[in-house]
Amino acid sequence: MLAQLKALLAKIDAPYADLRHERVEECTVAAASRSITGVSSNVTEGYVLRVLKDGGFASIAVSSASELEHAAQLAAAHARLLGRARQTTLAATPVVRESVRRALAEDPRAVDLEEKLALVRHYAGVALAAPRVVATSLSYQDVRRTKTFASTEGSEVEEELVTTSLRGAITAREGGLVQSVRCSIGGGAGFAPLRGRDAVFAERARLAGDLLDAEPVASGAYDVVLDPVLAGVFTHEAFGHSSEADIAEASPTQLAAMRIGAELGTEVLSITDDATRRDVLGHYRYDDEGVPVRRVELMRQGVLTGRLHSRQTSARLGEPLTGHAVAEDYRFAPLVRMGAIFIEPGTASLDELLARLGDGLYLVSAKGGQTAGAEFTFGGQWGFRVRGGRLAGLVRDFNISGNMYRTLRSVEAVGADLFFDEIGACGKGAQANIRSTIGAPPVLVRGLVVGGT
Amino acid sequence: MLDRVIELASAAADDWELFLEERAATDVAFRAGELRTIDAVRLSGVALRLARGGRMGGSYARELRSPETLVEGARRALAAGAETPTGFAGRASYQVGRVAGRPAGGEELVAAGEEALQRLRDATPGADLVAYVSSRHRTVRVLTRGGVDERLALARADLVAGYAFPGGSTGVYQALATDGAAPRLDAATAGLLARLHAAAGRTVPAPTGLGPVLFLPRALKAFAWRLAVGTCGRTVVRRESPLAGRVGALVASRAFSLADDPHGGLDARVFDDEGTPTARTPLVEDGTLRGFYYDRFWAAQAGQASTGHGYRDELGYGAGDAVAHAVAPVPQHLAIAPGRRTLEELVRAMGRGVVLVDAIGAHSGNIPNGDFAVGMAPAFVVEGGEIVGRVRDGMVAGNVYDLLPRVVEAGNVVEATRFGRFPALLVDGVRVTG
Repeated sequence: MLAQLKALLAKIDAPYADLRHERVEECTVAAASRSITGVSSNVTEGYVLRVLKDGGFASIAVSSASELEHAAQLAAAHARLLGRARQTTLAATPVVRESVRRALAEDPRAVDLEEKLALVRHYAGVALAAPRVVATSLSYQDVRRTKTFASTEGSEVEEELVTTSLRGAITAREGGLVQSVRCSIGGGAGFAPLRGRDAVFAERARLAGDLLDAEPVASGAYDVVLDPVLAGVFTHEAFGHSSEADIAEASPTQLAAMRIGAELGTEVLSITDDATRRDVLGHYRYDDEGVPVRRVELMRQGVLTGRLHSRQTSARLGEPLTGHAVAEDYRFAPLVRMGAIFIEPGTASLDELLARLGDGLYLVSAKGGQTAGAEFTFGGQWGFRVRGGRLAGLVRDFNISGNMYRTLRSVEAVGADLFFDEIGACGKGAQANIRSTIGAPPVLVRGLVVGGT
Repeated sequence: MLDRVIELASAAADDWELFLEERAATDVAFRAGELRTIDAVRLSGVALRLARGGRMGGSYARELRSPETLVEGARRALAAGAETPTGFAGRASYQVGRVAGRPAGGEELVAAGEEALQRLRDATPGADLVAYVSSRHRTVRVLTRGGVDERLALARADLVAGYAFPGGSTGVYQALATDGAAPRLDAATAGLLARLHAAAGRTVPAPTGLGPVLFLPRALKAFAWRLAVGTCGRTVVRRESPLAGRVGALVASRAFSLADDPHGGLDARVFDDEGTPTARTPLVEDGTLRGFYYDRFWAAQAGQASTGHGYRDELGYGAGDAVAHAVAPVPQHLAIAPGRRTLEELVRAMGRGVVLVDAIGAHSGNIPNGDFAVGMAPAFVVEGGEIVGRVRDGMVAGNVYDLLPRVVEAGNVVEATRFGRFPALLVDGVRVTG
């Protein structure tokens, strides 16, 4: 494959070009309760070409090798249009030649499709055994991306990423009230982490039923403790996206507010993105520009210390290259993406955080989130009232919302127990990133807007 | 190559369905008032589903270089066996799909974006300007062993342009679409956006509590997402929908009508991705629940015929990479019926309340139950029938099933949003939190 990519690059008349080929092997199973509603087994491939010419940098994705030469002409034409608006340069990066493959805890390719179906049916059965659970929607997916990257600078990188997941929703109903709890297991280690997880599905199913008796949260401002998943989603959605240099650079006022050295958070808050950690899903060695990823301290004791970059944004802002230009797959050019963003742990136990909270809410687990600039909104799955530092009853149906800058200054305490989510999910533009993962300990935030019904 | 796939599929299974798609797109982005990126895509694909003995399996490929690999993938999936109570569509009637216009090229898209930015710059010098201009061309073909062979070509160009508020991407934008040529932002629309941008410069406290909220078309995704789940044959069959068993009941005020109307608008379809002919499907008419929508699988589970809603997409992400998606019931063409009064008349009529321009977090929360609590992106406060400023840090919350009876009226202009063709909708008794 490398030889084919290099041969095509050799024909391109441009100061810089790179070409990425991906082969994607995927197996999916979808189930509605115990009924299997879809099984799919696919092998697909495609190419993404980027051309820097006349000061512009354009991309094109094609599924057919026969279109590559025409694609190169179109990308060059688009680069010329871009070059009329502003000149792009790319930050220097060492020429690398490496092939990266990781040992797996059970290769999903070696597991029979029938066994994957049986596992989905089994977990559906575990959930459906809980009182008042009426339905489950579970889906299994394993994806193997084999990426081959070559650039006119001479870099040649092959990297294989395997991701597994078994995720879905468990629904309980009584009369007109419906409660749905999401659950997800998996990661980047292989198939083994999907086995023997009955307790996860049983616990979530019990919660779905219990939520039918829980109180809704009245809308208002609350002091809250966010559990590690919700704190991680907050970190990702409210702060992380603003740390992606392509987003920061898109708004002059946001870039000014997010200047390196700005005091944005409280002293207890330190935030890092570390995709070099081999123990988390977000791990990778090289991004989709052939740049080795590195650990980036984004915030240290409330002060902004770094940003995530592509070669283009690194050159434009004059900040160090970080290796965070990542594409969903061969259908897309890379964007600046978080790998594994997390809040560095503090010292407090959960009980100490709740005692310090006094009266408020302990909000648990996540149900999707979205940002629009500095504004964010995301959902939690369930929570508890807290009275006098003690849990005092289950609550349901809430989203939390706020402004990033004000919320970062409202984080009062950070717990000691750092937890990384097994599953990743991040949407940016039209692209998903199933490996971008989150981590955090529980955190205490004052005066968060909670929207209930 | 296609003939070879058909030959192999016919040998491997009793029934088969082929879905072929070719997509070409160009996306141009202007940020901070200048051209930043041009990304292009040329993707094709073919998806195969096989059925035999009440089982079904699927596979897809980008190119038909190896029919054997594609059919073997589907055969493996078939052997493992998804359950199917029905086979694939039989021959209905050949219909002529929409003939696509000419898709705009990169230069035309860049020119349209530059023109839009200049109009916005003229209306408000020095503001932070954003524009996205794109063109899409798509061909779809569905074949089945039963004789379906339907084709269509779709073209569309979109322009979204407006003012970003200081500090981020929230702002006021106008979305325009055509069936080919790059849309142009006119000076009058730029002027309207400029007035909203000016009003946004004044921050006012949210009128907290229960009151009227005017949901502009893009903010109605908070309603659409929940109603799409509630009227879906899948959730009805599985008893997850609060609307199950309520056909004929009054579920909304008489000012509210919702249908899936595949024959209007830019992405009109005469057959779905399973080759089933499409038709207008009334969901709520003058407040009364009329029915649900189905693909072939869930229609068979419900003992009904498919309503032509088997699509390889998700709601709000239409015309995506369809071959990579499984078929599911999707209301790709939701339409809320317009009313009689203009937006300005509705603002005057509401007296004191909130205009929600767009919502963030609409996909979060207890969607099956109808609950929503969305961030404002952005929202304006109305007092004495006039917009007096912008709300910061507020949320709009409620339950769609509780709020449908409190729909006051719909505006008279329909906008094509990602989630459907919606007018503005004035709803009373909505909770605003600040």
